[in-house]
Amino acid sequence: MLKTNNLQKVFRTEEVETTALNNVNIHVQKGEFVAIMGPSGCGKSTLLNIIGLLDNPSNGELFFDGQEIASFKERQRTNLRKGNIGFVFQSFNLIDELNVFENIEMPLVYLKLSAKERRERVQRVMERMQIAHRAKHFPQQLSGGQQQRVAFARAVVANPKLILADEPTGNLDSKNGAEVMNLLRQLNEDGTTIVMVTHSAEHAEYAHRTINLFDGHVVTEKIHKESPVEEII
Amino acid sequence: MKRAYRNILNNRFSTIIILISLSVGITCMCLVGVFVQRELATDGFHKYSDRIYALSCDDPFAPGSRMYFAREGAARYMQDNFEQVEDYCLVKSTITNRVFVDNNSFFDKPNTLSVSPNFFDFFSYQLVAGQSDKVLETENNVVLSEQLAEKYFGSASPLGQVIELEELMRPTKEAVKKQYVVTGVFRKPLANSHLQFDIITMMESGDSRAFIRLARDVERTEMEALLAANKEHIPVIHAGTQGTYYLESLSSNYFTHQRHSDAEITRDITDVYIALAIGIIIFLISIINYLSLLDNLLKMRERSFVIRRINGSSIGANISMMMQEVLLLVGVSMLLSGVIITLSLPFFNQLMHASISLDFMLHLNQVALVSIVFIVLLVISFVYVIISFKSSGIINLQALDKKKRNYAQFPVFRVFQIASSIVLIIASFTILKQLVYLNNKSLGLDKNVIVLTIPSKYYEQIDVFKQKLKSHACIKHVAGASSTPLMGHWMVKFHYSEGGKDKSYTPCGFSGDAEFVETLDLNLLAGKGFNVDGISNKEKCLINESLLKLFPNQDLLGEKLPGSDKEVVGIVKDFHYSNLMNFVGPAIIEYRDSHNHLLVKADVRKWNEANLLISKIWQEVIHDYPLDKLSLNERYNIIHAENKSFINLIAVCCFISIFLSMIGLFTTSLQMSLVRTKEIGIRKVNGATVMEVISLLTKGYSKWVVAAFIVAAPLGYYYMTSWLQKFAYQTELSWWIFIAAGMLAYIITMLTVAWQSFKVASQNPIKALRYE
Ligand SMILES: Nc1ncnc2c1ncn2[C@@H]1O[C@H](COP(=O)(O)OP(=O)(O)O)[C@@H](O)[C@H]1O
Ligand SMILES: [Mg+2]
Repeated sequence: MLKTNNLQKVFRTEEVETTALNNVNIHVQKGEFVAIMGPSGCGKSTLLNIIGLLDNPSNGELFFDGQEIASFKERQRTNLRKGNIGFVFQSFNLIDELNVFENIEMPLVYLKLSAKERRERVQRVMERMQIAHRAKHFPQQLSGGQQQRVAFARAVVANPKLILADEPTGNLDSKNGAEVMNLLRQLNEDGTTIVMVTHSAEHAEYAHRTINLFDGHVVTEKIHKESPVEEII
Repeated sequence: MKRAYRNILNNRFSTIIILISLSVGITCMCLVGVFVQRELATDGFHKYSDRIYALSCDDPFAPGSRMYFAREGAARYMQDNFEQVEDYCLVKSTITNRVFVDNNSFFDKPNTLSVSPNFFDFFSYQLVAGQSDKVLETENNVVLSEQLAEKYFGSASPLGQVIELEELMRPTKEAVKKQYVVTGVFRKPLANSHLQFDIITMMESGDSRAFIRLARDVERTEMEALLAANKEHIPVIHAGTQGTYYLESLSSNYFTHQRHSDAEITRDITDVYIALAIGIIIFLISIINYLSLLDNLLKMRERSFVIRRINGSSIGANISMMMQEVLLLVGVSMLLSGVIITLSLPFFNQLMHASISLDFMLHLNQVALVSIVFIVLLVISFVYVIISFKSSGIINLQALDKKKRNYAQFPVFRVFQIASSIVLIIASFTILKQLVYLNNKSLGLDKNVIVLTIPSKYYEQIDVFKQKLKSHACIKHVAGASSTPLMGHWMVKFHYSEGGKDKSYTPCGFSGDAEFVETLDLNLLAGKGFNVDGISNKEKCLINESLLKLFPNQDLLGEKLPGSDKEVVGIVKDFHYSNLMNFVGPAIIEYRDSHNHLLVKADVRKWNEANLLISKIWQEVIHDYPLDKLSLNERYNIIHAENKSFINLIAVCCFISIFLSMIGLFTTSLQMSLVRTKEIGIRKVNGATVMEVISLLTKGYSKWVVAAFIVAAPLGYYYMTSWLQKFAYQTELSWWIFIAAGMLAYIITMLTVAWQSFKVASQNPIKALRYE
C-alpha cells in the first residue's frame, strides 16, 4: 500500500544543507506493522512525515495505494490524509484548550460528519481506549499514559488505513509504554497498517519487521514474523 | 537597562510597530494639546487682557443678534462719563489697494488698521522702532511691519520716510491717495492675536470696532447694566429703536466675532473641541495598542519572574525591572514623536489653519504639556504592571506549573478602536456627500459668471469696457453691477405703516443694470423686468419670491414696494446669494446706472478664449492695475472652503485612526497565531484545510467589527445629523453610508488579520510542531 522510490529530502537553512534522506526505498504492505529504527538525527521522523504527506520530498517518488502522490498540491494532500492516515507523536500533540472529547473529535469535524455520528464514534473509541470517564478533562489534567491514549484515540477515530507513530513510547514509562504497544498490536490485528518509529529494540519486536536507517540510508531490514498479508504493489 | 534593551529586541517586530503607533498617538495628543492651549490663549498676551472688552451692540438689521460695532463717539462718551471706563481704543480695518514708495508702486494689499493714537499702549504689540505713545500722534503717521519696512526701504531706516497709500473707501470702493510719514515699526509675526495687520494708521474718531478698558475690579455685568441704563445718551446706530451696548471679553473675540476683513482671524470654537476630542481618541487608540504590547511583554516574562522570585528577588525588584523597560519604551516613543512633530508641524498648521512654530513648541508651557503626556503614559503603565502582577502567579509563585500563556485581547478596547474608525469613516463619507451636494446644488443663477472689479479711477470707462467685451462672439452677456450675489450685498431696512402700526423689513440689496438678470441667468417669474431698449429704468426694482411672500395678500407687481418709492417691475425666483448655511431670505434688485463691477457671461465652450480676451481688454482700458477677476464659482468655493478643510481634517484623522487600529489588530492577530502555532499544526495534521484554519483564526474578529458597528452607527448618526444642522440645505444621511462604513471597517479588519493568519495557516504543520 506504500512504496517509495529513491526518496530524497534535503533541508536548506541559511548556508547549511542537510541531506536527511538519501535514496530511500521502502515498501510497506497492507496490514503490515513496520518499525523504523536508527540513531537520533538519521531521518526517521523526516521519512515518516513524508510518508504521512505532512512534508514534500525533494526528489523521488511516493506511491500510496498505487497512486503517485509526491507531486500532490496542498489541498490534494489534505484530502488524501483526511480519514486515511492517523498520526501519533512522541509529545502527544493534544490541544490544551480542548477537552479529551473535543481533541478526539477533531478529525471527524474536518471530515464534516454530523454531530450525532461524531458523538457515537468518539464514545466508542474512548471506551475502547478506556478513557471515557475522562471525556470532560483537559490534557493538562491527565497523566502521560492517558494523554497518549487520547492521542491514539484521535489517530484511530476516523478509521484510517494507515497509522504513523513517531516514537509513541518515547515519553512514557515502561508500564505505559507496554500498554501503548499492546494497543498498536491490537489495531494492527484489526487490519490497520502501522509504521512506527522507535528507539526501543524491545518495542520493535511487536512489529513484523524493522527497517534500520542510518544517515538517511536504509541499511538493513530484519523480519520478525511473517507479514499477514500478501500484496504486491 | 541592558537587559531591558535585549528583551525588547527579542520581540522586535511587534515592538517596533507598536512604538510607531504610540509615537503617532503622542504626536497627535501633543500637537492637539498645544493647539488647543494656544487657541484658548489667543489675545491673552496683552498686559490688560483681562480688563479689555470689545463693544458690541444690538444689530438693528437682525433683531436678537449683536454686532461688533460702536457708533462714532460711543466709546468716548463712556470714558468721559463713567469712571469705570479707564480708556478706549478704536480699531477699523481699511482697504489699502496700493502702496507708493518713491516712484515704485506695490500691489501688496497689506492688511491695514486705522486705530486710536493710544493703540500701542492699549494693546501689547511689540514696537521695534518708535515709541508707543508717539508713533500715532497725527493722522498722517503710519506704523509698518518689519517685513514691509524692509521691503520698502531695504536696510535704510524707515523712520521719517514718506509713503503714499491708496485706500478704497467703503462702501463705494472709491480710491483715495494719501501721504504718510513712517513713525514706527512693529514686530511681525504678531503674537497670538486675533488682529493680524501689516500697516497701522491713526484715526481720531468714527464708526468702528471699539475696545474699552475697565478699571480694576469693575465687573462686566455692572458695566453692562450701566450702559443699558444710559442707552438714551450713548450714540448708537439708529434704525428706529435705540439699541444697547454690551461687553465682549477680549479672549472671546476670536471665537465669537464675525470676521469682516483679512486683518482679523476668527475660529469656530467647535473646531477646537472637535480637534481635542479626536486628539484624545487617537491617543487612546495608541495607548490600547501600547498596553497590549506591555501585556505581551509581561506574559512572556511571567515564568522568568517566578524563577527569579524563587531564587530570592523581591516583587519590588521585578516591578522595577519591568518599569525600566516601560521607561525605555515610552522614552523611545517620546523621542520618535519629537521627530514626527518636527516633520508634521507644517502639515498640521495647514490642516488646522494654525501657525505653531517649532520655537513655540519649546516654550515652557508646551514642554510642560508634553511632560504631562509622558507622565500620564508612565502612570498608566505602572498601574497596568501592578494590576498584571497581582492577577498573575508572580506574587504567589504559581506560574511555573501553568504551561500555557494567555494573551489578553482587550476585546472592549479593540471594539472601541474599530468603533472610532467607523465613526470617522461615517463622518468622512457624510461630509463628502454634503460637499458634492453643495457643489451640484442649483443656485438659481449661473455660477460661471466672471466678476471683474473695476478700480474707482476707471468707473467712467466701464461702459467702454462693456462695449468692447460685447463685440466678441465668445462673450454672451455683460452687465454692470455694484452688488452681486455671492460677492457681497447690503441690507436695506424699509419702514412702512400698516393699519396704523409701524412695520419694517430688511431684505438683502443688490443692484445692477438692465442686463443684470439675463447675465446671471436669474429666473424671471412675473413682470417684464428692466427695460433693455433704452427706456428709463429709474426707480425700478425687482424682488424675489421670498420678499413677495412677506406680503401675502398684495399684488406688488407694478406697485411701489412698501416703505420705498421704487416700483416693482418683476419677480425673480429665489436665488442663493451667500453660503448654503443660511436659507434664502427676501431680496431686492435695484436698477442703477453706475457700477463698480462688470459681470461677464462667457461662452463655456470658448472659455479660454474669453479669459484671454478679458485680460487683453483690461490691459487696454485699465493699464495701471492688475486684473481683478473672479468667477462666481471660485467665489462659491471660497465661501465653502471651510468645509473642504474640515473634510481634510476628518479624513486625515480617519486615516490615522484606522492605521493605528489596524496596527493593534495586526499585532494581536500576530501574537494570537504565534500562540496557536502548535494548535494549528495539530489541526492541519488532523485534516484541517488552509481555509478552515484561516476562518478559525479570524472568527473572533468579525464579532468585534459587528459590536463596533453597533456602537458606532448611532454615534455617527447623532454627530453627523448635528453637523448637518449647520446647513440650511442638507444632503440626507443615507443608510448606505453606514453600510459602506461598516463594510469598509470589516474588510480592512479581515485583510489585516487574514494576511497574518494566511501565513500561519499555509505553513508546513511539521514546522509548527517543531516550534514547541
Ligand atoms: N525543518 C528542518 N530544517 C532543517 N533541518 C532539519 C529539519 N528537520 C530535520 N532536519 C535535519 O534532518 C536530519 C534528520 O532529522 P529527523 O528526521 O528529525 O531525525 P530523527 O527523527 O531520526 O531523529 C537531522 O539532521 C535534522 O537536523
Ligand atoms: Mg525524530
